[in-house]
Amino acid sequence: MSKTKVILHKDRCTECGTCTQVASKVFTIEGGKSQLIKSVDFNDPEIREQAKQAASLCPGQAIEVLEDES
Amino acid sequence: MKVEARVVSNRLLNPYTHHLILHPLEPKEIDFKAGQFLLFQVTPGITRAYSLANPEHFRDRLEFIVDVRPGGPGSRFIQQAKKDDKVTLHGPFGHFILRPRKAPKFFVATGCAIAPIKSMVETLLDHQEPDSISLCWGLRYLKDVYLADYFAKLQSRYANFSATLCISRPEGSNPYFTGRVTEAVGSVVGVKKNADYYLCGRETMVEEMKITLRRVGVADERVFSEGSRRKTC
Repeated sequence: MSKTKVILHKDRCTECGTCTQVASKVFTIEGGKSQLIKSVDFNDPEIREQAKQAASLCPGQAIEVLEDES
Repeated sequence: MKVEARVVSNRLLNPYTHHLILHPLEPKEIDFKAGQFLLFQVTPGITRAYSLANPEHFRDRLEFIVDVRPGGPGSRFIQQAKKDDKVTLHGPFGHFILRPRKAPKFFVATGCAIAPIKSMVETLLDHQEPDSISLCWGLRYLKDVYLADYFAKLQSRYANFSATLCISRPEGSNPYFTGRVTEAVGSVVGVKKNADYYLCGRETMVEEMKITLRRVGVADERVFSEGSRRKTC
């Protein structure tokens, strides 16, 4: 079963807020910067797709979505 | 939302500032709020955010003002864009938008961050906003100046609109305000406690303005901002 992991590189965040608009179940804004919402199940298909879309759009390339197929 | 557009024109406002106009092909009109931005797909894996500079009522025209000095992939994309090129964009995005509140509006911008501010000002004027609209816009050198005549014409046409162009390091005789926007707001234009403030541009300017406004009694909920770091101009 694959496990999805999402990494947010805060040093690359440009604070545009795009991720919070395309992946509102995954990201929120705190202190002007994006934050991962706690207790999110990244293996949920909808959540995973939102995270991937946010990663593809992030102008700072601050979001990584990793799939562990083990 | 994915947007496919065509380049209508790409001209220089000064040696490093591009005025790019696109025509949306699909969808044919873009519904956006003044102050928002679109993400340009500059390469398959890279996007860059640029604010819309046109007002909300121009839904079939996408206008951008971009400083290409950073020299990164976004800058190169903008420099190379030519008439009839196809461009893929995403959006609109962004929370730096006008608040629907009856109050004087004060806009402070530096450099190409004039783009979202231009969109906001033109949108308000089109809506026949009755309250006063003030703009302080800072550029560094006289040779950088663009859109000065445009804002002067708006000022002569709309009695409730005033624009102050600030040159921080003028080379020679300066017909505009000499100094930074933060100085102009305090000394020339004056701070109105009952106004809504929209700040966009250099992070240092935004932070300095927030401190100044708080010190003179402007409530934090009346101050809205977006720093240049948000967008890789």
